[in-house]
Amino acid sequence: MSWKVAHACVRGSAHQRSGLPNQDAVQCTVTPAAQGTVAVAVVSDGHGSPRHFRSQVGSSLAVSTVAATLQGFLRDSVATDGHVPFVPEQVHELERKIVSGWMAAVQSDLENNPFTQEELTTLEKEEGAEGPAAIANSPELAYGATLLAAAATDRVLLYLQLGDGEILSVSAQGTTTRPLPPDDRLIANQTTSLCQPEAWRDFRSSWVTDGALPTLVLLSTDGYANSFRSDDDFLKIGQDYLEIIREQGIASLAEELPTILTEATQQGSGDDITLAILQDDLGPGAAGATKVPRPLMTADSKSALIEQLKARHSSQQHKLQALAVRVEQTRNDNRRLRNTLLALVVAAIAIVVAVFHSRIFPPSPPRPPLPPATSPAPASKKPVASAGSVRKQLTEEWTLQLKGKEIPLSKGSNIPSHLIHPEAKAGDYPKDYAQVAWNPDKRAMVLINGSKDRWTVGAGQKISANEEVKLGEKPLTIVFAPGVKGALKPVADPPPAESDTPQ
Amino acid sequence: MAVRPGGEYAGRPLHVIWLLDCSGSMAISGKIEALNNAIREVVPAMRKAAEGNPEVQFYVRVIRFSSGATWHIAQPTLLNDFKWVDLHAEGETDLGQAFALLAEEMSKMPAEARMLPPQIVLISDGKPTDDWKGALQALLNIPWGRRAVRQAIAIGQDADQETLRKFVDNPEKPVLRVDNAEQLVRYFRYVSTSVTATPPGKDPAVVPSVPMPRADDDAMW
Repeated sequence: MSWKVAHACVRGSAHQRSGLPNQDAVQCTVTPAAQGTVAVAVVSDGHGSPRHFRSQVGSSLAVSTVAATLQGFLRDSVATDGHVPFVPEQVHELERKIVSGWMAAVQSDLENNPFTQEELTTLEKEEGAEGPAAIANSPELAYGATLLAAAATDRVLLYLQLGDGEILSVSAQGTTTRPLPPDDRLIANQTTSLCQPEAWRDFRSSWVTDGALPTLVLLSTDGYANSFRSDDDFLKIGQDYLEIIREQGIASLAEELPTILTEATQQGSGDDITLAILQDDLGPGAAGATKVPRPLMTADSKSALIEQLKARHSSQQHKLQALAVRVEQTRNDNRRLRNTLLALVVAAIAIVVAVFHSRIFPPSPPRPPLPPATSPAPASKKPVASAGSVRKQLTEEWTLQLKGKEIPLSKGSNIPSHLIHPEAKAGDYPKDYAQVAWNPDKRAMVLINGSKDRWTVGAGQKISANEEVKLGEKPLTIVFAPGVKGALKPVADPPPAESDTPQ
Repeated sequence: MAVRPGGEYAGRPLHVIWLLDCSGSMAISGKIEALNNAIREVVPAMRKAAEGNPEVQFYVRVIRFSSGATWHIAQPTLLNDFKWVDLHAEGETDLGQAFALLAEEMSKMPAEARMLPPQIVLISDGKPTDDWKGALQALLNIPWGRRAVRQAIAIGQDADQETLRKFVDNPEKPVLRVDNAEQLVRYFRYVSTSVTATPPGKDPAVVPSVPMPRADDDAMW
């Protein structure tokens, strides 16, 4: 197996108009190794805003230092003693090394080329005093750049990314995917960067081995993806570049890349565009490909491959289990939603029935008198006290003592007019003189005055027609009409049952 | 080569959304007429500035708010297709409802890296008459609402500058106060062309190439 590379880096059309340099950089190398080749592709995009005024140097330093670091890493850790796949600690260590290598290169550049007065004056003109202050505090800001890298041997391929840009992997069938997870922070021109404190924490990385190696890897700065109308339009480049390479070979494509990318920046983003392509063997049938026979498998490599397949199988099973859990959760959610909808439909029907009750059903016979005050309230009317609840129970029943009679009252009860005004003719007063109802605003039971009489409650509170008096735990006296006085008393709740008592 | 790799190329979209006060007080001293005239002058200036920036596609939409808030231009409209229909002033200053309508729309905008930060320009001459604080917070909680370039123009001395400042929420972008029709045109043009004239970089436009207008004219409002 041998890797091939092609790359191009063009200045953005908007950069040309505004006089900005090409701030992208790229470096690709292929070197022979003990088995096959070691290929490294590194792309970097220097930031565009004024305070990153040396970002074209920053991106160049990034690609040169990182390419060297990655080659060393692959030679030391893979090509010689064959540690595949990597352990995550190895890769984290590599990421730290990349950042410190870049910082050292920036430091060295600064020592040889200190900031000029002209650079600082221009920065102050564009960003105010804050710009030079930020640079004095963190000089590496001037060099800020992103990083995309792919490093491969014939057995392993490592992807690394810090900041925006795109890495795509393309299978032999042309299926194009992103091997690294997305980073939601990278919208609206925001990016993570080599120049940020503890930049290694923002790396995204992954690796694939042996049978999972793709046919193509495409690394591009964000100017390329931003040039397409949609993400699907961009992802199509995977299949298209594979076909072009199959037809004419990667060397021929490399010559055309600058023209392709220049057209993209002019008709698309206007930003600098860099593309690096790593190409694995194309397999039989490729016109431009040189067929390289794969070495026969040794017993060692066969057992290593079996181990890897086992590990991959176990990881897939793990993912399947996680998916099964999510499916079950979704089913439960759906069930809950269905029940809620059902409850809503029932409630809607209940409301319709309540509103049109009198039209649907004939008038009901007079309500039978409630049981005597001393008898316990029906269990179904009592609010259910939950264990440990300290919520106070509302009084729901009262008795009205009037003219020597005791009239039970609860929600919906009426006081008939003839009780107050026995002498009145039918029509002088409404049938229901007063009614007990629930006032949701006051969160209390009330007695509504359905008559024209002006009641006097307790010490002198006046209740006119359609007004209401709040019913609570305290006894009340109401003078309904001259000489007609009633006494309202709450009916005491029975003590809670043993089982209701908190344990 | 027969095929160009990838699908269709397109410039990067930048959405400009204007929130315009159409309350009853805007009918006094010709403010609403001045705003209508200003927009008729601002749009051609934006088109001209955008010519130097062909890689960006500018889309404009307009929300009007008075008693309630509605889209005056609901469809994102390219500058070249933009046609203005005059606004009329009457009713309250329901800025909170305008924020809520905008937040609803911005929450639907895809989190695509290719989209440039939207620009929202709020123009008002009074104090909000509804609950705007919660609605503004909801707007700022949305990724595109937070990352949008928000700017405000206060018309006359009765405009509630404190509310506008809270909307802008950026000390580098002061609320611009205008006191007559000529200033309104100049400031609105300045704010709008500062976006269309700035090429897409790694940061939203902060230093426009258009000079800041003078503020030494006679006050009418």
